[in-house]
Amino acid sequence: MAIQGVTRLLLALAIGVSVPAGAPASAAEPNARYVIIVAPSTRTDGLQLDDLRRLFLGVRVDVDGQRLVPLNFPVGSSDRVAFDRKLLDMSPDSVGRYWVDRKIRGEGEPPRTVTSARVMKQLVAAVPGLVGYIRVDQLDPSVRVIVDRSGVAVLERP
Amino acid sequence: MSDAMNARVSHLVGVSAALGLLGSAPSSADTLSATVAATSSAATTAPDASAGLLDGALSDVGGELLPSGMELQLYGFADVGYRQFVLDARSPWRAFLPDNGSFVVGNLNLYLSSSFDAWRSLLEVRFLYLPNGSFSWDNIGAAYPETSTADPAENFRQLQWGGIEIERAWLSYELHPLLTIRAGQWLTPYGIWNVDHGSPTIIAVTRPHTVGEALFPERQVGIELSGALSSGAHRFGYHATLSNGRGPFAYYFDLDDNKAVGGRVFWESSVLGQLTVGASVYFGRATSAKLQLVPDAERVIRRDAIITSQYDELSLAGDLRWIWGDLTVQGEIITNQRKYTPAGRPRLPRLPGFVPDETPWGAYALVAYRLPLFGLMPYFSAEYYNYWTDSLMLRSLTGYIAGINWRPHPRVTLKIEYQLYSFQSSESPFTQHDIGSFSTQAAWAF
Repeated sequence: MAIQGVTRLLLALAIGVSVPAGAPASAAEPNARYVIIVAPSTRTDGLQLDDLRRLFLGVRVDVDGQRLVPLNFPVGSSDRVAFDRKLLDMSPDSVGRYWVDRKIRGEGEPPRTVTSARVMKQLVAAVPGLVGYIRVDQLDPSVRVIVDRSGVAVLERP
Repeated sequence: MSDAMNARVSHLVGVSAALGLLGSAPSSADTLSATVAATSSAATTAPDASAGLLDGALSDVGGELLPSGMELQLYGFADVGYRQFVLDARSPWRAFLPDNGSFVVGNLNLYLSSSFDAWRSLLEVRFLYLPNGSFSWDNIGAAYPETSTADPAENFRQLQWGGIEIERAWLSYELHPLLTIRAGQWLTPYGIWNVDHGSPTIIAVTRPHTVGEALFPERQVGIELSGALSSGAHRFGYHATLSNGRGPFAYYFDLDDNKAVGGRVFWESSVLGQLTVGASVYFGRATSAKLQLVPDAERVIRRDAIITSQYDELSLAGDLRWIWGDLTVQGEIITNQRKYTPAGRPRLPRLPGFVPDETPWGAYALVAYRLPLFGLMPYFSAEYYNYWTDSLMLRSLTGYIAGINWRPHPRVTLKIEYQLYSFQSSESPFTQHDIGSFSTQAAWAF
């Protein structure tokens, strides 16, 4: 955090403007376990972790003619930080750079965000095609966990 | 359901439409409404669920996106910097390049983007100080264009107006992962640099000479098809283009009947880092002409084009980018084969004779590594460019760039670099003198 502060100060000095701090990143929960969820009726046959990575990086993924649409948590939230590390192996800064670069290339917008796991679950359960994620302890029967070919449903990464 | 709940369900249907779900999902709006109604009903019975829950969800995912509405994304990028050429006292390059170091306002690009169902629109414009003070090799010694005018809003004091360049203007429809159709003006999908495009995104301050020489047209007007197929850690994709090709009015008026065709195929692999390998091609006829009105034998006025330059060109390119953790390695090789038509071979500027058929080519490689220390990214680039023909009788160029790229914030990129270019030729006095250049840049996305 001290480095971030120094960075902002140097930047402010360099370009002569004040640089507001971004959304504070909550402490990620390194041991949290996440599941990727869809509505029970959403087809996910043959979907692999690589497809899910692409999906959350803005690449279109269809399954049996149905387009999948990812939902994310806000930048800086603990669940978002942990999920990005586990699924994408990317730090918050890397993810930020990735989406800035993509927008400048004209390649599209990042996934829309919701603020709570409850809303994530309700939307995913209600709208076929939406793909979200929650912690394992937030799972209930309203949504279905995606299992890829390798059988990996719970995202854990040391 | 209450009216309020009905309204919320309608909102959610709208959101779903905006997300592109109604168009592709088998569920109809009615089915979705019923689903949402059930969800809403369940929500109201949950211990802490309230009407505000769905309202919050709606605003999170775009509650203002009614089916008849439209959401406009307005963003862009800009850069400023400082540049100082380093030339020896007897360098003939001093006739062409400024001696004084200068602060520079570079790009100021504004994007307007919107998506609706499977449709997407992108407009990108660049604001320019030009044509005021525009410099070119051909008008050295002449007065630069000057755009001063009296400003009636400020007691007719002088101001200098500038222009706008349309960088991109297209509409696309995503039919299938294997087929997106795009129409309008788009960046030519070749290589890395031309697509990365924006100063916050590209690693170095300046484009490699090989890219800057536009051996492929930087942008075209026409139709582009694209798509990709994924399989495990691999993804294969293509772009196919049909356009007016190059020409002075190519954005709205093709001076010949030959449409340009092109394409790119690429392979992405995430087996070890992120590897992208691509190959691109472009074939077209470039025509420049002066238009005039002349009477024909029956005294009917018709338009006649006096061709000033016309050539058929074949461009080929290969590119590779490998991002492995904090390491980035990228390179491109590009060539352009030009064959002039008998009527379209122009004279050499400032030299006797005519421009011969030519095949310039060039290549660059760039290596960058983001250090753990403050996220600083030192980079080094080497380049070779073969001119084939050149009005200064240069035959080839070698360039070396060393610099540091620092992104203290994902939206801000600070760069500092030194460039050294040397030239090879047995005939030109310019080869005895290198061009050095020191550049800094602050680029940001907004």
